[in-house]
Amino acid sequence: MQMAMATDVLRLTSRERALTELDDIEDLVQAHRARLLRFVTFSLGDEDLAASIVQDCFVKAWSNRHNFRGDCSVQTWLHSIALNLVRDYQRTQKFRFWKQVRKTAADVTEIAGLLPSAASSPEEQLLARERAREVAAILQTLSLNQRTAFVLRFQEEMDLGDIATTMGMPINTVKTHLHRAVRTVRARMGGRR
Amino acid sequence: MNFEHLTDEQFANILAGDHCDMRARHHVESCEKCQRELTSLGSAIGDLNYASLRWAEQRAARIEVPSHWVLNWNAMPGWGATLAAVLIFGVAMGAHVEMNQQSVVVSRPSHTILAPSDDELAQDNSLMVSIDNELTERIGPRVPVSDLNVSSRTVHRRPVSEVSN
Repeated sequence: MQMAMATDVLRLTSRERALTELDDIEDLVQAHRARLLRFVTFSLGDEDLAASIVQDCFVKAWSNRHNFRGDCSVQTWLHSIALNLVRDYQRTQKFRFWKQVRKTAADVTEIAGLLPSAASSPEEQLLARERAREVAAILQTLSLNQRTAFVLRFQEEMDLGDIATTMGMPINTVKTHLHRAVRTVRARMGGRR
Repeated sequence: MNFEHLTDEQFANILAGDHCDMRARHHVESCEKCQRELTSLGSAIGDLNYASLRWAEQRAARIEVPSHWVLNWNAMPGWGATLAAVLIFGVAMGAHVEMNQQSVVVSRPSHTILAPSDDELAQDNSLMVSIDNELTERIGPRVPVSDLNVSSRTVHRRPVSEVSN
């Protein structure tokens, strides 16, 4: 009984803290925009579209901040809103058009080019860039669910429970998507036959 | 040494830093191939994470804090937004109609016809009388309508029997 009450109190406290965080829209945008932009860019493969969706995500989060129950972190909540917007967008005709035009597609070579240059020899740097570019290119060939599970696990470093909350799926389904993604990446990177 | 290489699940867990599976851990410690694969893929993913975050930080500056107007508009419930839209539309329409009425009022003086003066009326009358006199001289006096022979209007009619033949 006391344990349950303590859990409720903790949840209320974390909700209060999260609501304070969500109230300050400027801080919220500053703290989460880069990670959200990366996540949405990897999900859609288009930079301009991703920026627009991240903006919508903040508006939606701020407007619905009173519905936040405090069951997960603000980061997880924001990622789930962003993922819903991505899914909504992928269903539209507009997205199919964007996918065909791809004028503002994120350049994986440019992304890989931002690796630190001081640590190793030029050859090693080149190899590292090539491998990072290869992983990014393989991610683009995965299904949305596999890619999302992979990105949330290895880029956002979320645990499986948070990924399940973000994706709105049972943990076992998340595991299946994640393992399929890892299998594809391993096979294409030449590790597993 | 266990020659069963890591499954995708074990590989994913170790890659994510979860070393709870002792069997998989022991295998990695003894299998050079799996070690190499884990190190290679792990560093590639780590490099991609680092580079992509730097890239996103550079590009994220374009994502501005939404204005309060946008935030409040979106925070409004559906019926509230509809009501506000109807009110704004109503006010805009009212203002538009008001402006149109004002422009009609302003433009009215340009269309008003001033009443003719007595001199103008006298001139018009004399002109009409002279025209009337001229016509009377040329055509002859007018015949009253009552004097017209109505039967004359049927002069050109042919009997039905003629038409049918």
